[in-house]
Amino acid sequence: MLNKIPLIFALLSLLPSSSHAAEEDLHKTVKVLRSQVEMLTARLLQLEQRLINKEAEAESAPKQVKTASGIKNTKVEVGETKGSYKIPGTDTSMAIGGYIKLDAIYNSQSVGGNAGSNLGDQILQAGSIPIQKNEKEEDQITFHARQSRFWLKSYTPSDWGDLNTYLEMDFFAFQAPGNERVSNSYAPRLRHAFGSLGPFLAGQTWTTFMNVKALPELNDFGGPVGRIFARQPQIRWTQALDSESDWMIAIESPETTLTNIQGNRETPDHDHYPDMISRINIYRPWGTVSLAGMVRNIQSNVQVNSDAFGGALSLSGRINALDRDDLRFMLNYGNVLGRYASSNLFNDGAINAQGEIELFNQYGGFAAYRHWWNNTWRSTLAYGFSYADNVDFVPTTVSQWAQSAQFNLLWSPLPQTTFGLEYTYASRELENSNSGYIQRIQFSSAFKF
Amino acid sequence: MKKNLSVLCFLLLTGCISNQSSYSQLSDTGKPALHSIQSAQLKVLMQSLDDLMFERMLHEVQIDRQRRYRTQEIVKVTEKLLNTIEYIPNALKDLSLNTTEQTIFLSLSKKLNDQVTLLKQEAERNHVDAIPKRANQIIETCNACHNIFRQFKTQ
Repeated sequence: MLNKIPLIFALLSLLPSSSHAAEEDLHKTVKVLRSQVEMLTARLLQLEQRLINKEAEAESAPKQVKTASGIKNTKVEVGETKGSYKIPGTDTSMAIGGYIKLDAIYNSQSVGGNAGSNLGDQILQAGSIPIQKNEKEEDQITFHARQSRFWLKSYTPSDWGDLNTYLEMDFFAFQAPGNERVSNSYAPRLRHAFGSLGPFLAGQTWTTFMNVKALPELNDFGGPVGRIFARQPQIRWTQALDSESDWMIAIESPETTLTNIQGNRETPDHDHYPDMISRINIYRPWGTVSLAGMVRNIQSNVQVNSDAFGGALSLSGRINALDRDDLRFMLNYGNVLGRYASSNLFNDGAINAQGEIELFNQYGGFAAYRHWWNNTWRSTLAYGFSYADNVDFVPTTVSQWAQSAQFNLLWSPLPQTTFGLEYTYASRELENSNSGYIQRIQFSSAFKF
Repeated sequence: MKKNLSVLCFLLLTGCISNQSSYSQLSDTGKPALHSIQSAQLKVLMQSLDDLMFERMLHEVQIDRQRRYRTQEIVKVTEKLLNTIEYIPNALKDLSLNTTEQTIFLSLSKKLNDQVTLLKQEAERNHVDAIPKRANQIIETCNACHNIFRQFKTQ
């Protein structure tokens, strides 16, 4: 053993120099690898640069090509709006789109009615909230895909401004509601059909009195109570005031709904003046705010010819909140809100025993907060109400006020797809203080195309 | 049974919460440069473009107007970004790089310039569908350059 000690020392003395050599080797290897990485990176950059140049060339390449037969054809180009293509040989960009939406709804109480025509079970309509509790109608489930929709649009730039046309349909035709017994054959209905050239718009679309941007993101198709909501034929002019505000003025299709002395709805077809609406919109980095005013002439020929002028105001907006969140609101007041608010919960006016029109004040509104939990999950909490200061001569069975509260959780794994679950509580009270409520749980899935 | 179904749906939805992002993330490679801040502004604008996909009540013509408004904002940011990118080669004097490394640095700077120019053109033409891909490429170029060269400055 002792004679081996010198040998061990000799080996140990060799160790530092051997370690030093290994380190040098490692440095050399790193240096070689580094220069190889640099060469590869430079080569990669060259190739990427070629790709970018090719893309730039493709962007500026002439769009006309010659075929073998010598006839000039034009390539199909990407259009100037999202998802659109240019019609060959024109500046017109066209696109089709829409979504397929399923709603699966549990109602604590059905509004009643025949299967398929019970619209109040499918969307929140404040006027349909049952007052009397009916045990036979409790715990109802209904499924429908009627909100699915289809649209077609075109866009053409011109010296007169942008030329837009738009047609949109869904399957909520009230007049032909279909039924749930065999094939759920719901008829399509017209939602939007309009054209616009620069600031001029003519056709059917959202009423100018309504600020669509203020409406909350809900599964329910009808809520919240208190919102202004109408689509109708109109002629509108939109004047840009500056880069952050514009002013709209419109005449829109009139229609009168009145409460008679029995408390029933009358819809006399006797209108003489269009509804006149004006709105100012302010767009700022912190959000948007709109103020709308409306003057209406309410006409009746139920017993005698009678008419009355009235007005209404609506203040609404969407304010950016923390991070991606936003707060949306709408406040409405006037004596001709009638069919414009809460899906015609209250009428535009009432006719007394002599057949003369009397208008009454109404007010309502809502507030909704949308919170993003992360990039794919979000929730909206909304509350809305509507109140009418009814005239004395109508029966006490007419609605006095209604409210709704909604909360949902929505998930969009892809931007084109949303799944969501929503809880709704809504109640309605009559002049005689009788009241009723519904609770609803609604699952929805929407697939955009 | 109906109540159980609702509870099941709720649990299925809440059980899948994940934190996904459809955009490339700017990696934290040190003190943010001005062009990095502008890239972050681009990301916010891209997010607001994406949010328009969740609009249920606006009709498509209204959504198109909103998109155009945002693409015009993107054009403004890209203009600022191009001005800033012009000065990136000036950073060479602070980095002790060899010839090959300098070539790579300048190539990356040119690549960024070209990508931002293309983004600007796409935004000007309102080619909304092309914008997210291009924005991701820009962020990847930023990250590549920061990952390679910020270490030289810190060494």
